[in-house]
Parts: sequence; C-alpha cells; structure tokens
Amino acid sequence: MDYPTNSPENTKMEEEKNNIKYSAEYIRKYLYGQLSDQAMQALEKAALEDPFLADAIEGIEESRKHAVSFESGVADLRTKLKERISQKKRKSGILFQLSKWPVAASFMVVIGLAVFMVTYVNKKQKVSQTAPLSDSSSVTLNKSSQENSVEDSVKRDEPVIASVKSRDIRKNIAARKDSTSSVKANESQSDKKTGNYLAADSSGFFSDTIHNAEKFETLARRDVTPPVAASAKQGFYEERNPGMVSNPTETPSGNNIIRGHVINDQGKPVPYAKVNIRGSNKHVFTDTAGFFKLYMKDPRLAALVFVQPAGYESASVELIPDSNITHTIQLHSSATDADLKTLPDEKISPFVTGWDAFYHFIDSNKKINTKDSLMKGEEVVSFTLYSDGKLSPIRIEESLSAAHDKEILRLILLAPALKLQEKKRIRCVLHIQFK
Amino acid sequence: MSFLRDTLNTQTTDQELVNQYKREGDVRVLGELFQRYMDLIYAVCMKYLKEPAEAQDTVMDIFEELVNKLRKHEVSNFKGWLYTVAKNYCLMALRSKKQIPLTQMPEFMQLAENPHLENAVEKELNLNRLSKCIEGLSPDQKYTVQLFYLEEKSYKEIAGITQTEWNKVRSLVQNARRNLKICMDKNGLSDE
Repeated sequence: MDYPTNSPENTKMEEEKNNIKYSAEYIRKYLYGQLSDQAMQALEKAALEDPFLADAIEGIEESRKHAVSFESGVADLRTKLKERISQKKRKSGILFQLSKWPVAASFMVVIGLAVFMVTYVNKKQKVSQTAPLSDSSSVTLNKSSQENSVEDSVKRDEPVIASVKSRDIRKNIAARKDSTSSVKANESQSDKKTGNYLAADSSGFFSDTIHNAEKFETLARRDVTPPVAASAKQGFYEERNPGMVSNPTETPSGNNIIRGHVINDQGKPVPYAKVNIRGSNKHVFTDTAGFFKLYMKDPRLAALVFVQPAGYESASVELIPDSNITHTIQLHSSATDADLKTLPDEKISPFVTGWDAFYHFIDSNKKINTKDSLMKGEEVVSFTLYSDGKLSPIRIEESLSAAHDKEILRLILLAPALKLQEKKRIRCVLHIQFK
Repeated sequence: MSFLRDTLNTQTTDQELVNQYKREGDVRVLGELFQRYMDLIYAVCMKYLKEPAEAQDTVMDIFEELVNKLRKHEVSNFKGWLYTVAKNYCLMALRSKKQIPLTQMPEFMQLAENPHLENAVEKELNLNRLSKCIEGLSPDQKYTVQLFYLEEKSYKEIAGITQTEWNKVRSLVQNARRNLKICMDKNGLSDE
C-alpha cells in the first residue's frame, strides 16, 4: 500500500503536483488516452481523493458528447470574463461604497421616523388631555380610523353630538391641516367659541361643520372638541311642539343638559334629525333612536330647540336644561316634501340598508353658500360600498359646480353609515337635487 | 493566463489574491483568481448541467456570486470553497428545473491539502486493519482494489485485465474505497 509520508515539503510537492495534474488540458489528455498507465492511475487515485477533480473529469467527458468542444467553451468564457471585469472596473469601488449606503440610509430613515413619532406622540398627548381626536380626513372615505370613529359614533345608540365652532375658529382650523392645532385654537380662543359644546358619552366624537361649509379647505373635517362649559353666546331656545308640549316651567336641576327624543307622528323615532338651537349655529343630530343631548352653558336659561328633519315639518320647543328629563318632541310629516326622495331601502338594493337615513341626512343638510348656490339641477356621484361599511373614493358623475361637489362629498362623509349585507361590495349612485 | 497553471504560481498564491480582493474589492483581482480555476469550474458545470451554453452562463453567474460571497466569508482554502460554491449552485439550478440528479454521496472532502501525518507504529496498525477490511470486500471490489492500489494499474488497464467496462471499474474502485473507509472507521480508524 502506498501511503505518502507527508512531511511538509512532501505536502507542498503533492499539492503542486496535483495542481499541475488538475489542469483541464491534462484531464483531456487522460481522457484521450494520451497518458501513460502510471500517470492515468495516479490521476485516478487523485480523483478518488478529490471530488472537484472527479467532477471535472466527468464534465470534460460530458463535453466530448457535444459539438461545442470543451476548449472553445473555455475560450468563450475567457472572453466573457474579460468583458465582465472591464465593465465592473468602474463600478467596483462604487459598489463597495454603495453597500455601506443602504446601512446609512436605513439609519437615517429610522431616525427620521423616530423624530416623526416623537413629535406626533407629543401632539397626541396634548390632545388626549382634552379629548380623543380624530384627524381631519380627505375625500377618500376609506381612511380607516376616520371612518371607524365616525361610523362608530353614528351607529352607537347615543346622541350624536356635534361641536359647533364660530366662523373665526373654523377659518383658523380650516387653514391648518391637522386637528391638533385645532385643539390649540379652541383652547386659545375661548372667547370666540360658541356655546354648547356637546360631548358624547363615550369616545365617539362627531363634528358637524355644515353651516360653515364655505370656510372649509379640506372637504371633511372631523374635529373633536372637548366638552367645555361653553363660554360663548347662547340664545334662548324654544321648542314648539304641535302635538306634545313640554313643560317650560320645569325647575332646572342645576345641570346643563337638555335631553330630547324626537319621534314622528307614528311614534317612531326620527334619527338623524337636525336639532338646532335658535340663535346659534350649533346643532346636533339625533341618533338612530332619535335621542339628542345638548349642553347649555347657563342652566337656568331655556333653549329654543328647533328640529328640522327632512320630510317633516320643523318644530321648535323651548326647553330648560334638566338632566332628569328627556323631552319628547313629536313631529308631523311634511306634506310638501314629496319631492324628497324617500326611498325605502329595498328600492335601492336588497343589500343596502340605511339608505333612508343616509339620503335624508344629505338632503336635509345640503347647503351651498357660495354664489354657486343659484345653480340648480342634479348632482350625481357614485361610489363603491364595501361590506365593512366603508366607501371607496367618491366619483363625481355629474357636477353642478365645484362647490356642489365639495358639499356633497362633505355630506357623504358625515352621513350615517350605509350597511351592506350579503355582498362584498356594491356600486352606488347618488342623485342629489339642488333647487 | 492558462500558462500560469503549468508553472507554479510564482506570482501570488490563491490566499494572497483572496486577501487582496477582500481588502481592495477590485474585481480584476477576483478575475485573475477565478481564471485559475475557470476551466475546471466549467467542467464541473458541464457535468451537472450537461449543456455547454448553460454551463457557460452558470460559470459567469458563479463569478457574480463570488463577488459578494468572497467579501463576506472567511475563506482559507479557496479552491475547495470555490468548488463547493459551484457545485451547490449547479445543484440549486437543477433542483429548480426539477431535475434532481442522483443523490450525491456525501464524499469526504479529502483534498490533497489535508494529509495525515502518521508515525510508523500507527501505519503498521492501519495496514493490518486495512488488509482485514479488504478481505471483507466483495470479490469484484477486492480484486479491483488490489489491482488499483497495490499494483497501481489504471482503470483502463484493469478494464483490460478483468474484461469489464471502464466505467464499471471506476465505480468498483469508488465503492470499494467507500466500504473500506466505513470498515476502517468502525474499527476506530480512517483510511487515508
């Protein structure tokens, strides 16, 4: 048996020998039988030891089966490699440096994010001192958190409450992009605030800015304002009720709340009815059960509450704040509002519910305050309603004017949610008449 | 560049080129190193891929792999490492083409660079064990091994002597060798 005595020098010699033997040329000779038996045996033995060599032998063997000879293949490769090297010559230094760039870049991104987060969190903290806020939204309705908070507040069986701001504040707020600054505006301009901030019982807040549509830059804003014992003006409020009369001589309980329940002539609750306070721009909407809540600055004063839902005659009643009493206001249907499209849900689609309220809301609250208000006609928009109640971005199909577009979009955002059953999504078209 | 193969690399060893490349990142350095083994790598690719054009593309792809890998990894034995990279690349390519080659026997990576130093006593013991193991081989393998190792006959010669095909001779020797290794390992020794 031949075992090499492997001293260091021998090893090197072995290696060199093997290196020489390992050339492809040498292997080719082997395969063509141009080596001596001894040389062949030596190579074979080496191949048993070295899988690299063994594979190479097999590969060159394989090459003999092809028209393209092994040598020409190698020659092609040399050319290709030369090209490759000269191409990369310029880039290699850059590549090395570039590999460090991603690290630096991602570092910067992380820092940037951290800074952003910190500032954002700071703002949020400020806000949370007062009340939970939802950020201003844009037209695309499927901004998630926005939608959820609005729809949640709408769906909840609680009074839907709006905060009402003075025009000046609105102006300031509209000029700023985020709701956090609006909070600051509120806090700083207390003297300009109108009275009767209304707060929901839980975290859903809803801001109705319908009266000051013209002041808006963004199409829909939901600013949540804290319940503030309103410092602004309050008028007297009356609620006149043809059917039922609330007792204006009720002793005030020392509390600031006016609770109301609006029902129609059949005794059914009227949801999404606009409840106004005479002399003020503030208003709220009744919830799905017809209830509303108003905060009064001065509990001793009676409020003239004006209810003006679509499809009904408006009613007004004078009420005094008393938290123990829920005043019931009954409305009579309007005979002259036949032109309003009271479309039962089934007519629209068997899958969509809430169309009634949705439509009523928009129709009763639409208001164009620019010179475009003279334009009459039909504004048509379309959107896709998804199964989770969210709407796609709204498309204007027929536009009366930009102001009309804005108004419709704004109203759609604020309107009570539509519900989609059984389907994933459905395409809806909305026709709004402006007269 | 091929001349370098025939002469000893008086200029720079593989390791020196590796280190230089890691330092400088100059692909030309890598190119020179790669060229030393390019034809063998091409041969290996031919073995697995069996098509010249594919094999050529694969060789260039392997070069690209090296550009990055050699920067990152510590490599002390470039040739062996290069072979492993190339082989794995070919196998991956085959796997994705769903042509899984015959399962590769996990060969011991026995490069000539890893010799065993044995003193005389150990060698004696090994020889005894080895002859016993050889006895344990099948007749074909035993005969072939004896011809190959003892009488140092080439495959071609053995094929002539035993009237068997060259390929068969080769596989006999390879299998015998494997069995001997197993036998020697069982007895606590490995046969180098």
